[in-house]
Amino acid sequence: MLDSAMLATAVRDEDGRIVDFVVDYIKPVAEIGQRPAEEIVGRRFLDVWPSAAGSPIWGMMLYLMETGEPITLDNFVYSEVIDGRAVTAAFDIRMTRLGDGFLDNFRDVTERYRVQQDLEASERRFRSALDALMDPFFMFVPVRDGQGKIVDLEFQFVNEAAERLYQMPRQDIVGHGLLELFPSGRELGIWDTYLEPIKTGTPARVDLPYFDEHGVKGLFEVSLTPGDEGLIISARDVSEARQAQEALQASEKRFRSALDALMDPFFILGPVRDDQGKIVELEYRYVNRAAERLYQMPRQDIVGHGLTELFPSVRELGIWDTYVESIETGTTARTDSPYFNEHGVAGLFELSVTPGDEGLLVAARDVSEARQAQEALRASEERFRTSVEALQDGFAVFSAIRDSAGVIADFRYEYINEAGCRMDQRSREDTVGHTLTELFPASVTSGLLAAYALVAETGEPLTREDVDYEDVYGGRRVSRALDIRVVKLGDGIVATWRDVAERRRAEETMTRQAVALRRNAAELEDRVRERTADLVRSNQELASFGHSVAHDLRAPLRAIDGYCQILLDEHAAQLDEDGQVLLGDVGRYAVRMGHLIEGMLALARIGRKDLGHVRIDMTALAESVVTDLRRGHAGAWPAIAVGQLADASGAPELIRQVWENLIGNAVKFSANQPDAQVSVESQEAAGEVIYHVRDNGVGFDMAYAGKLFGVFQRLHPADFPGTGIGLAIVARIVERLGGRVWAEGRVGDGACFSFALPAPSTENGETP
Amino acid sequence: MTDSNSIAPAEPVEILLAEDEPSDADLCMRVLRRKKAANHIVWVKDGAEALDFLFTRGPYASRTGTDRPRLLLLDIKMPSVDGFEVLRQVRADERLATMPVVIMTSSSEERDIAQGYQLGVNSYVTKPVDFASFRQAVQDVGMYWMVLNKAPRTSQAN
Repeated sequence: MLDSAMLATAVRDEDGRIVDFVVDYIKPVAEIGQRPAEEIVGRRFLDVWPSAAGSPIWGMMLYLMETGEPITLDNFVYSEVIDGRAVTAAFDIRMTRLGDGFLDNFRDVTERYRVQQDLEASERRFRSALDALMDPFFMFVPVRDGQGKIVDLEFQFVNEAAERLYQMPRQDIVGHGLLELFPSGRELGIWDTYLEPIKTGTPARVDLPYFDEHGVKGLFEVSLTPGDEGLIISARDVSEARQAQEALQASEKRFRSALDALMDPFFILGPVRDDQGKIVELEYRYVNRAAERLYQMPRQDIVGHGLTELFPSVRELGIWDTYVESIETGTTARTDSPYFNEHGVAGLFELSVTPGDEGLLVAARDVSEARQAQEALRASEERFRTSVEALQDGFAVFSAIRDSAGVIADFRYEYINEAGCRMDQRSREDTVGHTLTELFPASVTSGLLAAYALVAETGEPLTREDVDYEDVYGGRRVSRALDIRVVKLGDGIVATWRDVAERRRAEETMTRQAVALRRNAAELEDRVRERTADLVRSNQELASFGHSVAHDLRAPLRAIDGYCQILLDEHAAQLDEDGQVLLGDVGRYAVRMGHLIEGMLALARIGRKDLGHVRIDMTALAESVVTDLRRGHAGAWPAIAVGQLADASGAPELIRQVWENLIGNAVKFSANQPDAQVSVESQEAAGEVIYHVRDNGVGFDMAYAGKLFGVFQRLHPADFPGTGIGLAIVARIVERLGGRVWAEGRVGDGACFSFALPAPSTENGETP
Repeated sequence: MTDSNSIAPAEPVEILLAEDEPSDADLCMRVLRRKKAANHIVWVKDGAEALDFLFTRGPYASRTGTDRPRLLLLDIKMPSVDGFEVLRQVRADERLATMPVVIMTSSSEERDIAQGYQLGVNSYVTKPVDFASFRQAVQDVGMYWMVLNKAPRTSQAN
């Protein structure tokens, strides 16, 4: 409800006496001058509101600062001359001491105050009107005995004319009984006359003479109206009656106009009682325009109708009880009530309920917006508090403690969050209310206090990282490294801090590890580089060694073969037959060794060859290999069937070698069979193409299948020529192209050599 | 094994054989001579000597026969100056540019073959390891270049 707030800090003279306050913060939703906050913050209280100096509030504020006793004021009316214009407003105020200053939560209740004023004024006017009547007017309530029998009628109200008539001041009449004051009334028949309308409930009009000790004072036309609570009597002097009635009507009209002018709904409810006097209904006696607008009904549809008749839910809402209690006890009440229309809640109203002569006066004020704002404020404050509590960092609010000279001597903890307590290893109860130097004596010598004071004095935020801080608390010497950030708040500061020792240790460890790691990595890299260079070098050396060995061996082998041949050609006569055969063998073995060397060179060359990735028409390639083999072949030739082969991708010259070796082998190992047949086929599988070269030749024992593709491995050394390197070349090539090679066979029942290559991609395929 | 390495030949040199391997040179010359492909063959043991011979300098400065050989049989891998360098200088020389040059080598490296032809070799023959094939190859080369083929005697004559 208190939607405005102000924080102020005391300004003291040399003797420590408060001479003024400085406004640190204001949320001027309802500041009397409606001035923006920046016009007020930083200024002195009495500069902004000079009239406060002469107002009782000033004394209360000093008392508050002295004792800490909070101030609670409702309807505090305050006037100020602002910009040459007198402004009056009313406030509800809750003022509490905060540090060396105060927090003032307040709310502008001027409007509510005005309604009350208006009501009071209108009531006054009403009374004045009655007073203005020339005719006596009074109201009675019955006084009953234990049996409920009316034993007297007590004056509740008398007007001036009645005073004059009775020649007694009002206070001597009101509260007293008719029979008590005028014992003769019973004899004169007045008692019975007055009692009759109360008993029957019907108004009466009688003419009565009025007597005093001097005799008859006059004849009055007396109007007797039984009310819910008593009897209203107007004794009319016939000659002056009309005039008085007109005056009354005028007064009531003014009263009604005033109520209609109100922006807030206002209505009067009259109680309807049952036989036992219990209120069973509250009947609308009057509604103002604002109420018509609220109910969205014309006045005539409301007045005369019951509250529960129009709004059955009021009983559940508790409003009914409030109203009834107000009537029965005669006390004013204030309550909040939601107002529903057919669409749901239309608003929240603050109801001011005042029992009056006419009935229950109800002034409603729409506070939905104010309430929502307050809810939002509370939610925001809770969010803030929760956030602060959730922080991993320490968070504390300090108020400045100033010495008599106004110099900051210390700071007092006003608030600390959970993380702060944890880091300080001290509970919140042991912290809040205590001072900085009390809890951390070293803050004086370390300059921390001075730095904080500077923040509080200048408003310049302080940020310090890696502050090394040593202190004794809990009897232990504790060394801490902190990141600290401090900002000014009011006459005080807010500090957040973070223990960085852990982080620093982690960072140092990490740095050490990183350095070591980098060093290790560098060493490792160097070593790898060295080793790689070594390997490359030794590989190159090996390759060139192998190459030159192979190269250099060929010439002497050729020479051996050559000279053997020349010997046989030109000097055969000097050798016997055996010698000639031996010489022929020498040549042949030399040639064979030459072929082995050629094979090794070929195998070595595969590793150096670039792998092409052109699309290869395998049918054409295999057929061309068959043709070439046929041309260089002497002896029996098998029937070779090359089927339609799937395309492959790779280096054509390498794959040609694969075909040469596989088809060449098939020919070699089947040629001597009767009805020798070799077939070449392909099949496409998932992501690869598989090629088979099948023959019905001598076959092989599957037990040796694993040896087939090794270098210099031969299964048929005696019967078939060969170097034992062909299949090694095949395996090497196929593996280099990302494929695989295998063989199946049975002794005497042929063999099938297969190789699989990755299927060529369709888009970049290119036929060579 | 050699009998024709004369420094000052009396008759015109028909074939200059640049070969660092004596057995290959000997076998080669035996085959050529036996088939009567050439009468006068000069054998030099490396590229430097080949160049000295062709440009009549060093040991061959006093060589009287200034005619170029009818055929240069050139090995590639030789000590000091290799066959490619010899070929480069031959093709760069006005007098020698049109001389038929046949590379006879153990290397069947694609790279070497390509380089030989780029430098203007007339033929590239690999030496088979078995003598029978070798003999056939040398005979074929000799017969073709010395008997069948007609080459200009000198550049000027071209």
